Amino acid sequence: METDRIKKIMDKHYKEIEVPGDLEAKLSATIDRLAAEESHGVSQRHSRRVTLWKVLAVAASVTIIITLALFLPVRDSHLQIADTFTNTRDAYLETEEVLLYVSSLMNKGVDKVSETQKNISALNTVNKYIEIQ
Amino acid sequence: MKKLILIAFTCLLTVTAFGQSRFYKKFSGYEGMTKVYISPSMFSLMGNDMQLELTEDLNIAALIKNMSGLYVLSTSNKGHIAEMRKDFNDMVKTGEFEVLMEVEDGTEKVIMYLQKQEDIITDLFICADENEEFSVIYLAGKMTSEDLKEMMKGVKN
Repeated sequence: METDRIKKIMDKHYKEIEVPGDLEAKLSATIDRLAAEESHGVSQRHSRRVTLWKVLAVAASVTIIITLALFLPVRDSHLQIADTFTNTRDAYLETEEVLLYVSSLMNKGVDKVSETQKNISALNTVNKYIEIQ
Repeated sequence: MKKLILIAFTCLLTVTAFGQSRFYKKFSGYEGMTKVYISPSMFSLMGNDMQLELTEDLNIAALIKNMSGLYVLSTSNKGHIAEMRKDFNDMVKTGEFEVLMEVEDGTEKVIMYLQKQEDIITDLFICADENEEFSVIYLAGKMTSEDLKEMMKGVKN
């Protein structure tokens, strides 16, 4: 009984509303459009994820290549340096010769500094003499 | 982020440390290059051999005991000189080198660089450019300035 009463009220209420003829077509077109958009969004997200993985793979490869380039030559046995001398006496003589050369160069530098200091002190003496005059 | 910085810093240190011997490795293969290499093992053997006190002009016994490598490269080939000079300057730029002295005397030009750890000299580079001959000498080890002063005593130019 109650249901019939509600139906009557609703019929009376909706009798005044005009339903467009193409509403059903419009609704189904909207549903189709939304469904198409949703599936497009999913594929976009998927392609973005693939691009991210690609970028990560490239970055990892570059890192590996750089690391190998830095460390591989050090471990390469062909690049190990061989001693020039096979006995300590020859090695000592060569070291002595090199150190003598280095010492003479250092002494030359020190001499230049002392020479300059002498010139500066001579110049200071001359300046003092001029000031006194 | 901190880890990344630490890794990058470690890589940089490794590059610098191997740069010095890499310089020798590269140029020692060049034709017409005079080269000398004395390894840490040879220095260790020399240090143990007490009979090797050959000259009175130079007191190097103390120095030799603490040396861990000697590299000498010398050439008069102009092409090699240009390349060596460029690589040497690049190497000096990448490390923390300090100019010990720079001497210019006529056609001769000598620059000495050193690397220190606190008061200990760990690396000494001598770049000598004289009479169309270019030489790079690299001494590695633990030297004090007193050792160098002692070495210089009694040596005339």
